[in-house]
Amino acid sequence: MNLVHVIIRQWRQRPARTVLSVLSVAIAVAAVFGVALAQGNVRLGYRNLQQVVEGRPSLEILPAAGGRFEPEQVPSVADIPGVFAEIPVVTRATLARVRGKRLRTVLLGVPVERREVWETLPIAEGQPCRQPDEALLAADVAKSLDVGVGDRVTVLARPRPRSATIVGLVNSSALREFAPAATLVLPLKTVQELFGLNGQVDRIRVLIDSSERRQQVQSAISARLPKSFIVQAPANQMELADSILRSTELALRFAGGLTLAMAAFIILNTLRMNFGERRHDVAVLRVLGVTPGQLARLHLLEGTCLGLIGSILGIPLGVAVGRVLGTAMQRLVAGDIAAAEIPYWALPAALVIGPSVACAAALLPALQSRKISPVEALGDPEVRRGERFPLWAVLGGVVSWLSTAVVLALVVLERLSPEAAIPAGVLMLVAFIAIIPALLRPLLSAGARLLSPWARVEGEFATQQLLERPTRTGLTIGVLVAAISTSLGLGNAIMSNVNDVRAWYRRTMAGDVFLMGATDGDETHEGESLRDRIAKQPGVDYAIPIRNLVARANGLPAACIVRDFAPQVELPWDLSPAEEAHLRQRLRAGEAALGSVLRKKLGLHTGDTLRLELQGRVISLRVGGLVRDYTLGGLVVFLDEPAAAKMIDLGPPAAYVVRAKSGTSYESLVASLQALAQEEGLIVRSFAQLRRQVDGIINGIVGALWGLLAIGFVIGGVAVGNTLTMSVLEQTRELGLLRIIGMTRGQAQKLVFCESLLLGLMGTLIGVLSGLVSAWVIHLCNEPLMGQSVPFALHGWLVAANVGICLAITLVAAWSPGRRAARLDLLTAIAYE
Amino acid sequence: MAVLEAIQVWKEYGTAKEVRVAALRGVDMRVEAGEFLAVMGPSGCGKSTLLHLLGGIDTPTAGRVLLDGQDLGSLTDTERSIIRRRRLGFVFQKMNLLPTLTAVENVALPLRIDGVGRGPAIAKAVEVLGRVGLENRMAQFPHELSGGEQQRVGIARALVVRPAVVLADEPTGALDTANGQSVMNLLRDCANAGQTVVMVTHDQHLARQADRLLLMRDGKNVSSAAALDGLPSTAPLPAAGRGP
Repeated sequence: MNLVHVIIRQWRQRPARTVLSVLSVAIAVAAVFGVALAQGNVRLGYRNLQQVVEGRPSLEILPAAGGRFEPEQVPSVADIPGVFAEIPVVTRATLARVRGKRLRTVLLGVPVERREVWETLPIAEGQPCRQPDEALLAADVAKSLDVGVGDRVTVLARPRPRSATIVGLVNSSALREFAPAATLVLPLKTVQELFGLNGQVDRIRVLIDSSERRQQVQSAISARLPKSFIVQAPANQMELADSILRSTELALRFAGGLTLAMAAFIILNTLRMNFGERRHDVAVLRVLGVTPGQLARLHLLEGTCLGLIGSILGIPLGVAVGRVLGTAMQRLVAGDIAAAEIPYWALPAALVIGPSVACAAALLPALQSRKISPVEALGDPEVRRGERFPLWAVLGGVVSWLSTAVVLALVVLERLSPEAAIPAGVLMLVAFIAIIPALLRPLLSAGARLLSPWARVEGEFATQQLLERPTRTGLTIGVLVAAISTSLGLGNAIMSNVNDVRAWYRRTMAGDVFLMGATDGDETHEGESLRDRIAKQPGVDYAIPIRNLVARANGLPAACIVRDFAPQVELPWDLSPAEEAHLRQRLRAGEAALGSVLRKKLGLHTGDTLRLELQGRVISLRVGGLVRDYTLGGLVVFLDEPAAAKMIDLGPPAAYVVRAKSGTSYESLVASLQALAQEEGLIVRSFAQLRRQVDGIINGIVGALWGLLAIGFVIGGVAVGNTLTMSVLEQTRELGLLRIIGMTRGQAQKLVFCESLLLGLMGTLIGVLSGLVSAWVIHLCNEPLMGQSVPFALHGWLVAANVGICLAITLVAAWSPGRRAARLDLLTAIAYE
Repeated sequence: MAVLEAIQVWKEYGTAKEVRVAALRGVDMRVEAGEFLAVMGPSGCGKSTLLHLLGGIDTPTAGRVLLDGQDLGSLTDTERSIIRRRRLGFVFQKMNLLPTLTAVENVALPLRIDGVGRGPAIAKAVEVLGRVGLENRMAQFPHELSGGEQQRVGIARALVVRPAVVLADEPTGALDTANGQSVMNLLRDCANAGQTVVMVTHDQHLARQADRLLLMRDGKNVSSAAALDGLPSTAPLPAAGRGP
């Protein structure tokens, strides 16, 4: 286009304006890029958290009627998208001896010839077991028993024992992916021979790529299986809900959508200001014969070029932001978590998205430029009036807002998928921002009154200036509103969820250590039960056995946790004293407590009857209470041990949770339990260590989320700074005139600060309201999304922090434009057009 | 007594020696209280620069500008701003009204900047607009007014604080003859009311309506007789004196 030189000349003529435009695009692109990386970190954090408490996300295929089966009976599922590996396994509780010490263990048999086994079972020391007489031992058990690679282990299987050499040590958390209590690994064929299984296995473990896809993969596998087989999530003891992850994923997508919207607002606002300031030049071009079409194309070309340059600058900036966030997160969790890598698609995507958004943002000014009359070029600049915000935009905003509110209501009522909440939420906010210009006059007048004791005249002038450009003012406030809404709405919801999970986790880990290992039941020794013997050890307050049984509740796969709910044992749920006493009473009476997700799926209420398939038996239980629990995503039934023992054969406990007496140190508790553990072949594990690890990861997630939200504020600050700078540039002549007729430098600076403060106040006020609505909507959407809802709690400090940060950022953003206004050269200013 | 005085005022632009340009080269002048002075001269002779220095918008490179005996160059920027707001009134060729304010709000502006409340400031502005014949156009925005009306608003704004000195830079340059004469009458009224008026103009006809004429050439003031010889005058200047 032969007018390109006009663009270049205008860029050179107004370098500050050009730099601001490019910087806006760069920061918008960097924000989107940084948010994508931060999202990656949060996702990674959640996955790590899940793997720490649950193991690699997996499913298991097993016969519907229970028992063993031949692997060939099950068609392969390895080709289903999302499936990482399918591994047939056998587990057997048994007794073993190493260096003369007894070891109660769960023996795991895996097909050692399969490569995938070793990809998921990292060897801490030594090498994988390949031969029939080679074994692996859990590293922490080896440490506990003071044995290592090269020692011989004898499995005391009936009819004859079998010895194997320990060739390697494996991490117990990796072993947990195959069987929760497994500590000893032998080749599958060896275990089958030992126990006379004739090539049969207990189940096929299906390892999947990510827990978000668990339901999808489960459905695909289920469709392929014969009717005699089922596929279900393993009932691990400490599994976090998949739904929490899905909820977080949706929240992150929501944040991503809002960031993109904010970036688009900034670019749109900047380009509008950029083009708007050149209205007179455009009119001159029209006088000289440039057609409206040529003008529109010129603006689109300029928008695309600015977008491209901004993107090229924004990508490294975004990478830097993402790296800083990743590093911060790593520091928070003391290096336990890897920072997310930059996705390979991000660079080309940013190079396409940046210019595309800029080109789209240039469309509106381009269309407006078509309407500029050549007559404008002949008029004096001072006779031009401010714009009027189009009524259709406000009405469109109201209609869109109401439409998205209906969509969200349908999501809450479970008539629409929770996925629909993301675009609806983003659109709702965008629609709300479109309405802002209609609210400006009363709000800004109120704001000016608020400022009047400090800056009466300046506040009034600032109000007039902001009202003169309602679209610009609305978009700038919109960016702040989006930042606060994201921060407050999402932050409040995530903090509530994370706090609830953390509190639940802490209550669940009520003990100080736990003793793991397969026992032959709570056997007696010289008339004393193992539980009593543990409880008698010095420093022990109490010990409770925990059993984790695979069950079906009204036909739905569920975990059945059998434990002691005696009054001295702390409950893992947040209940009032009266509710707690009532629930203990109902449990002791042989009734069941249902996880709220299971209750919702089964449509049961307190007092209804539950049909529980357990240990090959079917028992009917009255539902005695409902609890918010995250074990197996809330698909859980709790039974009290003494009551359950009367109904079914409970079998050996999976572990004993041991609580120390007050004032007892962890070291002395472990020391007092060590002898008994060695004697009984049990492993002593620390809750504190696991708790620390979980807390560290949760802190990392929260830190990364804060980083994510901080990016929103940085964008908001840039938007305000940009608007003010553009505003000062545009008001150069007027500011100069005001200075000539007696306004001091201080007053000019104060005027700019007032504009900024008013933008901040409006952004804060509307943003806080919008954020509270967002938080409430997210809270309502939790129920259909997760099946249970965390009680709505407003984090006052979060509101205060948002208000403080927003106002501080707007004031900081006003610093440079304010100085510029104060330092204007009067003669140059009044000659400025 | 001299209200406004320039003593050996120099104004140079540019820093490097080779690009330095002197707009004023040692101008001396004084204006008495209630005097109507017209400053004339060809384009580029330094008329507007002199007006800017007299108004404290700019500071001289050398020399002094005294307002009521006070050296404007010795004051801080804030002090000069306050003097501009209380003691001086400006009228521009391009009016320089704020497009977002109505006529009455534009006139009230200097009072509002000085901290006067909105009510009293508007009341005063209404009174002054009435004096310039715009009592029925107060609520109009600048773009809704004719050029002559805009300039009358500009004059009203300059007069609203009752300044000691009114500085007018080509106040009729953008107006037709009738409107131009109307503006001149308003300025004459100011002088008659005891205010000092300094007007820069190209128009000999308008200059002849002033009490006294200051002719400038090449950045210097020249004597009236000498200056008149060089001017393409078509009509004799009136005798210096007050009143139309």
